Amino acid sequence: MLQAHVVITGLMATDNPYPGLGIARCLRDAPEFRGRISGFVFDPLSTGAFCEGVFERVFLVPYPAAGAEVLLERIHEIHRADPIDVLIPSLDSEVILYAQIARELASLGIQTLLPPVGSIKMRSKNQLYEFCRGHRFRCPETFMLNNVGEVSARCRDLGGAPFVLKGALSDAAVCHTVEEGEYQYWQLFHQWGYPILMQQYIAGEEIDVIALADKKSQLTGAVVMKKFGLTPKGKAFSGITVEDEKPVQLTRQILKSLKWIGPAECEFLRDEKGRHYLMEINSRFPSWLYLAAAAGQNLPLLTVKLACDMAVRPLTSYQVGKLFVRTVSDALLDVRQFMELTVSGEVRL
Amino acid sequence: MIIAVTGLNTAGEPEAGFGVLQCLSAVKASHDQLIGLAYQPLDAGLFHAGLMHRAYVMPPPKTDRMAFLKRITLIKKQKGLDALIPAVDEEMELFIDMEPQLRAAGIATLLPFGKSLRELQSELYRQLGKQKDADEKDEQNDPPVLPPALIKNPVSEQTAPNAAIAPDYFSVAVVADCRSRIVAIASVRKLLISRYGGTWMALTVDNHEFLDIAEEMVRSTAWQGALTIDIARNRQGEQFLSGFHSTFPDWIGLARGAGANLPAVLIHLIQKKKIRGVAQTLPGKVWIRSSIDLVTDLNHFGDISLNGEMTYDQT
Repeated sequence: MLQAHVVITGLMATDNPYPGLGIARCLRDAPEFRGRISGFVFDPLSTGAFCEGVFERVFLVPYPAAGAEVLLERIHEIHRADPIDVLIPSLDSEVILYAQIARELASLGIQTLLPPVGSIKMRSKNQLYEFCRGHRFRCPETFMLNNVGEVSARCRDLGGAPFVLKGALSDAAVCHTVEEGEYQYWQLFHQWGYPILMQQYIAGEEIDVIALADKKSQLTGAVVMKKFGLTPKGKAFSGITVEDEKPVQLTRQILKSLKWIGPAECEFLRDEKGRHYLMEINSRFPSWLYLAAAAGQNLPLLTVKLACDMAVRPLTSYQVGKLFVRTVSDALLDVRQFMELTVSGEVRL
Repeated sequence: MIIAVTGLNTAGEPEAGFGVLQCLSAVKASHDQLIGLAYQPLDAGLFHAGLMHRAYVMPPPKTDRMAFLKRITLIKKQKGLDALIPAVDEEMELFIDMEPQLRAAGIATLLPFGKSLRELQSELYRQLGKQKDADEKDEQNDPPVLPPALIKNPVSEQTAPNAAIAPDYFSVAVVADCRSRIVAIASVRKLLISRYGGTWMALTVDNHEFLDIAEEMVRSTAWQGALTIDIARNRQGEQFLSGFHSTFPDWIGLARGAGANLPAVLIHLIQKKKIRGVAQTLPGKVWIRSSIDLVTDLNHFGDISLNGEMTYDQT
């Protein structure tokens, strides 16, 4: 029986949902979890916080941009009133922040399972290529562009079009000519700012691995998913668990090399020759994590246990052919209850 | 009564059929049956156990109208079907065209006339023109066309920088009878809209503010059936028609939660039941939609794909 007060962040759950609600649903589904679940939101309009029967309390916390000190102060205040046992941040922008204050949190008695700050930086988009080269992991050749004029020169370096341009935080565009690349450069710049990355185009199928590493950077669980359905806007709304040992092995080696601790997602492309290219590492659970739990690997439950230094047996198998479909769940509140979060900084649900 | 509803795609920008089924499910008698009509085997509404008795994957009428009519007639013959509520805006014109065949097959609907639809479209263009003129007049002091109030940057989660000067977005759903009288109304302020226009959070507001506008629209276009009117209100308090839907809105579940089950009222009209007064929502209810994942297995999906139909356990 696991009794802990767990706090989860990243609760915006609209058309491109964050994983927070999924993490909480996994814990609620675990028969051995008998603890309480609260949510941290920096925006009162975080829809997932209000999903029926999931969170007991929701607290308003400062935006990540406010910095670690302000955040720590707010956590201290909440912790005094309602002691927290485990905290699971689930946004990339928050993971680094919480990693910076992990020691202070631990001294308060709040456990986390987070990677060292250096490991988080190493998996960032602009350092991933160097990391892969240094550790001999296959990865598309990548350049950081300093100005739009470099599109043409780097296109030659990559052996010509097509190539891929990637935004600093999100979005990517496959470009078939230099002119298209220059146009997309400005599109990505206006949306996401610097840096813009230029990458070799690899044709292949996308394979995603959800993973969890323990405090010794050993793989404790991993599930492989292939996207199954895309919305008209190109977002995956369905995916299926598949058996594929190669990306699991790669994930194991990558997380070990990164000295990673905690949840992660490794995104690979497998080309027609069966070679796996590491495309991206997310420093948190992916939004589709509920699929992994339904297939037999409840990784949020393991995260809580590992954070609390409980003994955990690594999970090595899962059900293949499990399919997730993204849909919606609606909740109804009285406006006074809804406003309470904004007015007093917390709400009981 | 056996009622079929379209619009079961709940991924990304959810269609209204899911909410319509939730509303009907809340009031159905034990002998009533709800049928879902999907166009893709991956339409996520198909995977909500407990919402429907049966579901079918249909040929989309926009690509093959005859195939749709053939299939729906067969369903009627084999399992029975009394009424149909289309819940996808883009298909309304097609359903209006197919109404005589549906009626001949014994499937009842309450749809607007084609002429009403065209008149409403013209009114929308007139209003957009008015808005443009007002914006141009205002141009020296104000930015011209403003985005929805609470569209978020998907990564930073920061509200759009000009949110403070963005208009408020309201939406009014009504049901009008065949004499173009409003018999049910629900008015909301949209609190959170996705990048693609889907509603994720809404608050019921006083219907009186919008009843006159809705009545004028319904009367002037001789409307019957469901209608959703989107209204933008700027800082000066001026209101503009910003869109309309010839179906129920994606937030229709809120109407039921706030005391006015509009889809149930529509069914009463289809059944020619007498309706007294106007069913109205109470203000002050917040509706919050979250994206969640349902998990099934490949065999279940395979069944729907291969058979094109699904029967749900009612226990």
